[in-house]
Amino acid sequence: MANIFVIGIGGTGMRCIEAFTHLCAIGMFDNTDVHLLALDTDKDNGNFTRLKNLKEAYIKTKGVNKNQSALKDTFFSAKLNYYQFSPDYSKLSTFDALYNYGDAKFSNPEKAAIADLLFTDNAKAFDLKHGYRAQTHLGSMLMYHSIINEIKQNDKSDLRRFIQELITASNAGNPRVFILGSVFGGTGASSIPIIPKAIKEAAALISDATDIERNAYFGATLLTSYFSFPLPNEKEKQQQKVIATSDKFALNSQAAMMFYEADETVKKTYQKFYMMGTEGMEWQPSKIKDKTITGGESQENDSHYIEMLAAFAAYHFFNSREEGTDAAKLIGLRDLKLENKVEYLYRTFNENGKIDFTDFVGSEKKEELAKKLGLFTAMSYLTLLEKYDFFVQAQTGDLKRVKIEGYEDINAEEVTNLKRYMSLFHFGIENGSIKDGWLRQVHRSAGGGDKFLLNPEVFGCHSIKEFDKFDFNEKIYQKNSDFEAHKFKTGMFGSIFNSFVENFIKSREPDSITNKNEKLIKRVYDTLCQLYEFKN
Amino acid sequence: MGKAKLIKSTEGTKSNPEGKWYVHDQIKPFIQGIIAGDLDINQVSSTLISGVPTPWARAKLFWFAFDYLQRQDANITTSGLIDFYGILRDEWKGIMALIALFPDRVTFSDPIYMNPKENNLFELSSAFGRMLLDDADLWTDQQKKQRNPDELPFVQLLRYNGQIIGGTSPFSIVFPAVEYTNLKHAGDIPWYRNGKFEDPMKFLDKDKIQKLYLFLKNINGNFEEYENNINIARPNNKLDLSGLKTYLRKWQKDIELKENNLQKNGTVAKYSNLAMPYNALLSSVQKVFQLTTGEFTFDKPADASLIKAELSDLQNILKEDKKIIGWFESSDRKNPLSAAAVYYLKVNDVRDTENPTKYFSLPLSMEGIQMFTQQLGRLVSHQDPKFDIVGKISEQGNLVVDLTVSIDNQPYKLNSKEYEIEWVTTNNKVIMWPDFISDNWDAYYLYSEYPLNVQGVKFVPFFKRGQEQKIITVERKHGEQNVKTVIYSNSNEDDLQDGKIDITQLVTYPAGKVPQEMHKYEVLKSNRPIAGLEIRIENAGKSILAGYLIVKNPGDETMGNRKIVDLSTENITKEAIVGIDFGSNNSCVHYTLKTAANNGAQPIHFSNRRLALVGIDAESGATAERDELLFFSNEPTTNGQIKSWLHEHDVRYIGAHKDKEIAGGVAVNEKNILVKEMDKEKITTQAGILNYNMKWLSDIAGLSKKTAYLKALWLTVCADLYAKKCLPTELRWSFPGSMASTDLNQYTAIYNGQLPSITPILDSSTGMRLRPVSILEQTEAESVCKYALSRDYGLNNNLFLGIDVGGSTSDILLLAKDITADNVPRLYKQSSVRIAAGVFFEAVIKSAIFRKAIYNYHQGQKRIKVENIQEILSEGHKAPFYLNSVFDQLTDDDFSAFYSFIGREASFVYAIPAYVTGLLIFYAGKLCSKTIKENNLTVVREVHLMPFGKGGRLFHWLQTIPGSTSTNAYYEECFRKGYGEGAEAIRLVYRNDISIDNKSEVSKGLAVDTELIYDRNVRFSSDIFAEKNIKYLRDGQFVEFTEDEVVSDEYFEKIDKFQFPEKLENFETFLRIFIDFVGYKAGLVRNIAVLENRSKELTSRLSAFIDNDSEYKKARNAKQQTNRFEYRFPIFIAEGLCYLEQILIPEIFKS
Repeated sequence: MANIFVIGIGGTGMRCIEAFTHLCAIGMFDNTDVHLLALDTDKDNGNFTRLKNLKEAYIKTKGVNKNQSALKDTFFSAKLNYYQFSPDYSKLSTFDALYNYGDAKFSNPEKAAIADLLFTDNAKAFDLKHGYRAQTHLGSMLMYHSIINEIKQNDKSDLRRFIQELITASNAGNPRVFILGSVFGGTGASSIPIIPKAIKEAAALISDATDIERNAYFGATLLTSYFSFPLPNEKEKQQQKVIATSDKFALNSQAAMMFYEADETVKKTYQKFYMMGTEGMEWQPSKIKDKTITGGESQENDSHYIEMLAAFAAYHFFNSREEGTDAAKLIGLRDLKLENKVEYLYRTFNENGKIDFTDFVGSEKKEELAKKLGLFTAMSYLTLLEKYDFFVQAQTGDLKRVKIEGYEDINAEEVTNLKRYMSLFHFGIENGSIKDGWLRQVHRSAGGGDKFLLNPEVFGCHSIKEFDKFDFNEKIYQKNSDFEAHKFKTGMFGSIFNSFVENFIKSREPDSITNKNEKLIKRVYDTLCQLYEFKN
Repeated sequence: MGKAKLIKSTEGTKSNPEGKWYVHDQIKPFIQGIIAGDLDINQVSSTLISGVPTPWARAKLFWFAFDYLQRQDANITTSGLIDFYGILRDEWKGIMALIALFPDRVTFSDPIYMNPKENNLFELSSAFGRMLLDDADLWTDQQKKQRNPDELPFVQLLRYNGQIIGGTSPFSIVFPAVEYTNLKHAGDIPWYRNGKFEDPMKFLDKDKIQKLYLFLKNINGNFEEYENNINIARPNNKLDLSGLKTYLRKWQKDIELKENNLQKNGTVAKYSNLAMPYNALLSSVQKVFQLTTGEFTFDKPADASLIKAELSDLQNILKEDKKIIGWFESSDRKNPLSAAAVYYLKVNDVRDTENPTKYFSLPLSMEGIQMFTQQLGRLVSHQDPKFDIVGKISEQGNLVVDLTVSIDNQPYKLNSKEYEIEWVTTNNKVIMWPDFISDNWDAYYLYSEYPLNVQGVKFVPFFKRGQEQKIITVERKHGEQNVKTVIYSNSNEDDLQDGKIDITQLVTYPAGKVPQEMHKYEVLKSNRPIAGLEIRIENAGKSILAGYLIVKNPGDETMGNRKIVDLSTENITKEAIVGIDFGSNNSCVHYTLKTAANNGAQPIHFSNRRLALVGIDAESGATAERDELLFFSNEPTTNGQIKSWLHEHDVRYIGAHKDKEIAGGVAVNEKNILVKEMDKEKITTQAGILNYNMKWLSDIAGLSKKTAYLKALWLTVCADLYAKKCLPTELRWSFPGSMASTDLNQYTAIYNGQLPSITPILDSSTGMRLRPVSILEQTEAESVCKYALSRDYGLNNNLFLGIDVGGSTSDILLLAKDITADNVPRLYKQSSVRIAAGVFFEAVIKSAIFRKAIYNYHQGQKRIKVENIQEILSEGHKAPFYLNSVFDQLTDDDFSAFYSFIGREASFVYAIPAYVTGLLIFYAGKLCSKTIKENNLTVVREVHLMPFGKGGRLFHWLQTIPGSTSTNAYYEECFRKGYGEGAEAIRLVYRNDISIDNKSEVSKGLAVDTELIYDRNVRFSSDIFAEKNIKYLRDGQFVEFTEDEVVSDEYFEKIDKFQFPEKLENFETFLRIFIDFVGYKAGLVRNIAVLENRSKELTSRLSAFIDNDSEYKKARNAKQQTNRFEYRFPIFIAEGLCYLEQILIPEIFKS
């Protein structure tokens, strides 16, 4: 059983965790205990809220008030341990206030003057409640101290538990920690370079015998600019002393990259950086298009395939070699660490602009990804569309009519959360309208149509009616793709549901899984493998 | 082929088969080529700083700016970032130029240490220190860290005129702060534009380019050491500074290519408080050698004997510390500081039209002072543009100093230095004495109103040798090197001893032990001349150097009519005989050269030898300031006379030194002092207690005072003589003939013991103290005789009746040629009687009219100025002081008018001089009669009356009012009645030969050698009873004395043995003459009947009067000590004095 540690930081980091969670949901992290730390300065941030909903749905799908465990060859196979931390800027909401700058200026002006040397007056005075607003020079200092302060002040915090787990893993071996976030924004960009050091210091406060920095391997995304949002108008500029504008994201990215490339601390702590970004920044993720959002619940941005790539970077990191060099000539983590060397990795996508499974995982894993993503998508129809509503019917006993029974004792809440999860993954139905889930947002970010993994018709439904009519038995995978053949027929008078039920009934109840909902999911997974003709 | 999913970059577009993670092998070019968009520079600036995820982003960016320049591939199309780095480099150049060119305005703070382990997470400096993370070692003094693993990282703030503009950084030496807009007083820095620095090169003139060039050359020379220091702890992981290094070298090269005739040597801006590794980088040592010819050279001569001095670094000439002391020109401009005894930097402040002339302490370092010691006059004179120090007041009111030194015949202008001015607003002074120096003079005194043990500005003296004109140093080991350390007055004992400097802190302000309002001052004595004062002030809890005041060099002619001389090599061999007459109110000193001791005496002028090193010495005649009461006098005299005033120091200030010269008190010769209170012996001044009337004091305290006074006097006399290249080899002193042996012994001890021991003149070959080889005492009368004889007043066959009227005694002497001894003049009688001018003081206390008259006279005069004289009207007890002050300021030409004025306003006052002079003449008549008879001086037909002494002017009063005819008739009658039988054959001739310089006769007589016969016994056998019918109980029986009987000490031991007659015949005779004169003939006194009637009271008062006489009491006390009773008082004089004090003055002055 693997223990992996993932930290997502800032708005982009939240969305990357979201993508990572979906990878967990489709079953890319079998037999893995995932420790997921969401770290953001803005706890009211819309993306943060969405992530919390997602992880809650994930965890509750795997069981409400039950011991959970990691599974294999099923959906929701990874055991997700979720932690979150947000520095509290409700009382001391500026740098000046936090560091008592005014008093220091009076009592020890020389020392206080260092702040004048490095920070503008505006930087020292802006409200931190909505994050660091691309002020990473300030944010890095604030985040570092917030983490250590949290450990000092709060011995029951999520953060402490996360680090405690890391200490345990560190004492047992060489845990891997992957950090997700952007280098061009605020909180994520601020925190990536200092997180290993902050964790090391924090861990030393809990257990002074532990040297996380020495034992653990660190990887991170260097996620450069890939989206934009409208520039602030004059009124907004006047209202906000410091405001992050996306026109400088590229420059920020460049500055940060330069820093990473040269910084001694970064070199000592990180082994792999996964660079990613897009050439253009046309993508506007915000739902509110006409004003700049500094943070808060309004900041709920659509997901992007780059975030999915980030999640796959983590996937790669956790699956990369520790010793030696792999076939792709990538050096093992141990050697990199010993040599204080950082690998800057990048990935190529097909030049035709169409994103293929290979682009994320390579040829050796593309089938697994295609299978799991495709089947999970298929399951979303079975779960979300009222005409199927498979899990609810199983739980309520309505499927007894088709001789599927024994699932009535599933905790209804688990089913509800499964549905909730699937709606966040694929689509939701709110007041009769379709709300795009993550998959549809990512598809859109890739350019729509046939430019993203699955059959464009998957994304062509815009009403319940269209969804109801959608033949997901035949149209999950793109035509002319490697997976075109993975589909099933229903017969002239049959139905998708009937075909599914027929095959479901034939599937075997898994013995190793105790939780009924997870048993049911496993059987659905197996059934879909069967139907879509994937090896199980 | 797949395309890299990366941000767009002009470089590093990767095409590889999709489906894999690839290692990017061209990461730097890739980053360099990132297309950041079309941004203006200001946006780039703020974004970059905020985009780099470390609070130290600003410092890091400057490293990138150099690093990427180094690695930049010209083939790569760059975007805003790389362009921006060019701007950063320009900004950095601007700030480096500022550091190179304005070390006077630019400062580095002391290291601000940042402790990452500080427990308080939100303490600012430690929080920043924590964020250095693995760079912390770069920010730490690695040399120290090798010794101390806990050594902390630090940053030093860079300020321009106090405003933060940047900080130190291992990555780029310095880096500009994120914001430094609105720099004040940067108008003359054209490369500071729009709130930031730019490339300075196009704005620099040749002089500045030269300085910048040397600065860069120096840095480039030191760069390797800088790199090594930074990387001590990183043998395998060195911080790559090649970008910065290359850039600096190219900058230097560019200047070399552009400029011709660049000097390769010169000054480099220096910042002494930089810590490692920055101090290694900016360290510049430009040694300069001063040759024995006085010239300067950079090249060390092979022959070490040609080197006079060595300067460790050219830039060290000007002092480092940022404060300077400044003075305004005095408002009346009468005493320009340019004429002071010390060198100032004089500056014309064009901004101040009202007071344009300002003066400053010399902004040199001690090393600079030592280098230029003998050339400071030239340096501050602005005569030679190649060797000049020029100051100007900057826009913000600072002093900007430019120093040019000619080295190897090239003028080198040092970096300007700018100092914050601390204006001196107090009138406190530092004064030294004397005004000459010599290796053979070992007593230099310094009075300072800036005591070193009091907080605030301090003027710390240091010393020099005379002939060498070299500041005294001692060699001390500092590490491996021997370093010459200057010795200051407060140096430790070892240093002082090794430097052969004796310092005695004679007067010390007892800090904390006296009330705050007490005068803060100190006096020290050194055996070496004071070279100058190091000025130290408190700044932020630290003592910093605020410049120097250096005593002008001997021969410097900028001191107006004064000049300091060096007498070290003078041939001082002229031997002088010095005569000192210590009087009750005034003293007088004359000298003669031994080779011409009979040619008349010269007065000691008590020249003002004070040199004000800080402040301006008060003008003569003005009300005495405290320093004039507590240090050597600055009131010279023309006639050798000086007041017998001793101002003492508060006992708490002098401690164990109370018996030392100056500590025991100083001789004051002020005409004008502020009198707070006074009695018969003491005046309370604003500075403490002024003692007067000390001559007859004989208790321990009195003896101390007399000793202190005479010591102070002697030092001054020695200085005056030494300045005239004379040695006081013979000391003669006088005393009243009536003085008891107890008093005399005290004086003998002082003159024979104390004074010689403090003679500050040394034998140039042996170094031994040259004390007077002969010390001799004479009575005042004997001295006066010698004086009279030296002036050849025409003794012929006449009898000279000299009456020397002093403050407390009058000496009557009779001088005639001794026919039995080849007509050599002989002093036949010398009587010392205690009736003198002092009686006037009693009179003035009692008479409001007299006081009013004096006041009115004063008010009518312009030249005579007595401070607070109005007090004479309301505070009678102070009147003697004010009367004396008026007297002191009267010139010989004034007296007549003064006498007339008093005669008009208070004619009765004339009764006093009439009484005293008449009484003395009556008594003298008796002495003359006895002398002529005893000695058969049959040839004598004329007795020439010659009044002497300060009090001799009593005789002069009457010559004006009522006039010479009636007065001389009065005198003649007094004389004749006193003479008695045979008087008709003798003519009294009143002579006014001595009407100027009264008082000087004794000291003049002491100092001359004239032929005079005198018998010491005459001192004790001249006084006679001068009254009839005096009986004395001897062996149980009353015996009657004749009026000629010599008054002997033995009679007075028991006063009750005397029996005085009911009718005091002689006195009443005199009284009648007196009353007739003042009442009827001169009309000075109206109510004369009562004066005559009350004479009857005298008999009954006489015993008690003598019994209460202070001298009588003293004699009785002395008897207990010595078993010797010494007191004699001619009864006639006693009668006269008793009548005067108890009847005449109360009656006449009872108004």
